[in-house]
Amino acid sequence: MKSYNQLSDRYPFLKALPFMLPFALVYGIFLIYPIFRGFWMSLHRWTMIRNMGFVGLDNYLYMIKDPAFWGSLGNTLLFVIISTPTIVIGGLVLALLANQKIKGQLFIKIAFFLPYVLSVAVISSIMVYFFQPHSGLLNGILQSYFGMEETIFWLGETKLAWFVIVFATLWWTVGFNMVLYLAALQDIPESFYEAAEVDGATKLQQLLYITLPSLKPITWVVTLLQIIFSFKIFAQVWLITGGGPGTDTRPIVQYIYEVSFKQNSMGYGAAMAFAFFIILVLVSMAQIYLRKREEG
Amino acid sequence: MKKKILFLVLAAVLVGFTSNALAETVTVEYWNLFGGGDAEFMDAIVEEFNASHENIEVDVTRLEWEEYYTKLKTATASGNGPDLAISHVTRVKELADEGLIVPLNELGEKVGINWTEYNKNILSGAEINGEIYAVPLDTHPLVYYYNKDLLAEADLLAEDGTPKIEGSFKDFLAKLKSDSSAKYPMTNWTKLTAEGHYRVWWSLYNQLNGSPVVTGDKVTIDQAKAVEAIKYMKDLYDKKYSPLHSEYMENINLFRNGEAASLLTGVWITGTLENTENLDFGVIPMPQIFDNRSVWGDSHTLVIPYARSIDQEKREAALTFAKWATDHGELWAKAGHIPSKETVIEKEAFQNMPYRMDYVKAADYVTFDSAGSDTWGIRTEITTALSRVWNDEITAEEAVEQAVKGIERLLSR
Repeated sequence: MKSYNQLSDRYPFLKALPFMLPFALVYGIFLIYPIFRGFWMSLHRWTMIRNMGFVGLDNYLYMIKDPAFWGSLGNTLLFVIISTPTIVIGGLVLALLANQKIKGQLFIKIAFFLPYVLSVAVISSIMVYFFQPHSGLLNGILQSYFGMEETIFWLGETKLAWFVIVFATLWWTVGFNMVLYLAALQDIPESFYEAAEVDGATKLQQLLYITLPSLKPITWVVTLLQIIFSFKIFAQVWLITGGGPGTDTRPIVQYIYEVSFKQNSMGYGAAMAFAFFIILVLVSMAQIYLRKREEG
Repeated sequence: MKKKILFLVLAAVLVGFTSNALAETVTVEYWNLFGGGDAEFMDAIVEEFNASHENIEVDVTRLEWEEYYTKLKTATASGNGPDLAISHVTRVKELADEGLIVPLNELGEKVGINWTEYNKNILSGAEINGEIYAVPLDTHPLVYYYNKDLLAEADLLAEDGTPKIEGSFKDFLAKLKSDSSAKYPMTNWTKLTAEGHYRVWWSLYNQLNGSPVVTGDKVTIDQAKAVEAIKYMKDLYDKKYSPLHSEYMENINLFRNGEAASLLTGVWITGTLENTENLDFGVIPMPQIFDNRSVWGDSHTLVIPYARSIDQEKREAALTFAKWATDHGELWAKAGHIPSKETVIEKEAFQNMPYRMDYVKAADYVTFDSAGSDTWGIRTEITTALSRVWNDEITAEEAVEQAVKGIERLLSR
């Protein structure tokens, strides 16, 4: 009989198995199993608490014809398109600012990062107090110090509501991207800049030809993370605009939540969630492919 | 000697056991959704109940109302539900249809509940196929609060302190707008995605004798009447009689600060307004605008969630609390709610409370908007359609069409 040692010499995988098992187990139970379970649910009529019977692909057919699904998916896409460049570039600019050798540099870093530690409920309440029309801080300032006569409905008009949501998300999360960029900035060897200085390169040239190219790898990471975060937008919209006016800012995750937990249709909710999952997988795969081609 | 000690110990243990058994307290897990003004009053009721009942300990958990039903349903379905819970009467059918709450007819009689003592209007909402599923605690309709000083400025306050609404309600508001120093004649909760403006529409639609929105799985809304109610409200907002887009607390504070001369909201705010300094206010049921006095309202009730293993003792203890709390409705009325029992309303303690008697009649005008498990979905479809009219995106007719389409889609699932 062969001993375990001999076996594992031939198959190195066996050696790794005991180390991977605890994580694999947790990963399986909390991530892999729910995905299959969700797909299973999406094939049924399922209320919040029980299975009402198999319906095949009915939920998916309903989804394709549901304008509310496409509308909210469109809203999420719109948010991704607006917010991703804003928050990535915002993080970069703040990192460059905070990386200057100036007085109060630590203060800048802390100030920009601070909102990130707040919970979504807190930042949303702050935004509501700031933007609410009749007794909000912003309208109050505009009316008392700048002589504005009318009332601006920041949360009641589609374009302004989007502005508020993007602004809130930017203010809240930009600090995280800044920290990632800061770490990368500090990894660029000082000698590059010294050499450039000797060659007579200006600050702008140093930025364009040393700093930015060195940040390319981290930019891929930041962008990928930001796109995934942006796709998942829900809580701040739910708490600030409630998806309004009408359903004009309602993202897909909110619609899935409403259908599943408020309208009592877990089956249909699961179908949309699964479709959304496929979209996210495709987006991630496209990104990985692009990145490989870039590097290859 | 040793034997003696052993005997003594044994005796002590035995006595300990029996006395423990005698004083055994039943713990009742109780969930509610109160927040803002009324939560403290419920906590006080529980405290008083616990103090006066040696064998029962009610343990309150307060949950956030927006997510309350999601939590109650999932917890109950997974076997972790409470022993007693608050439910709006408009959600009782939904919970009963899902088998999440138990019928109470017999159980109630066992602890001495006399169902005929409760307000019939509410009790009928808690009754499904002849079975009663909930113990009514209160009613909370929309009522009309007014600032006496601001009404007096426009000469709209009668000698007895009530508003002088002689012509139409809109004439009244117009005069209030032109002749008082208030910025707005009225305010109500008009955040577009929230239920506030829907509640006003529901009241007006029912004042026009509108048919139920849904019957079975058919949409049976009376479109012409729905449109008429919307047009009335649109005019109200267009003439700036009531500001749009106001958040809930913002709308309450506009009234408390004297920026709005009147406030159309639920009775639960009475307790808060009473504690506002320099506010001299009065209150009447929502004014009649169309053919009858119907008004939006809901009702808090107490329900017993389904449990896999039935603990009769716990259920009786839970209902004992339900009976006690409704029998002492005057404690709950401090928050502003209208008690569910005629016998409570007749009590001197209630009659002597200011304001409450001014709107106690409104309990009989309430029309509930329950539609089983689709209640939330239907409300939301209508709210969304209404908000598009307020934002000048569509006409009243288009809004009703949109709402009907949305509800039909909802029902077809």
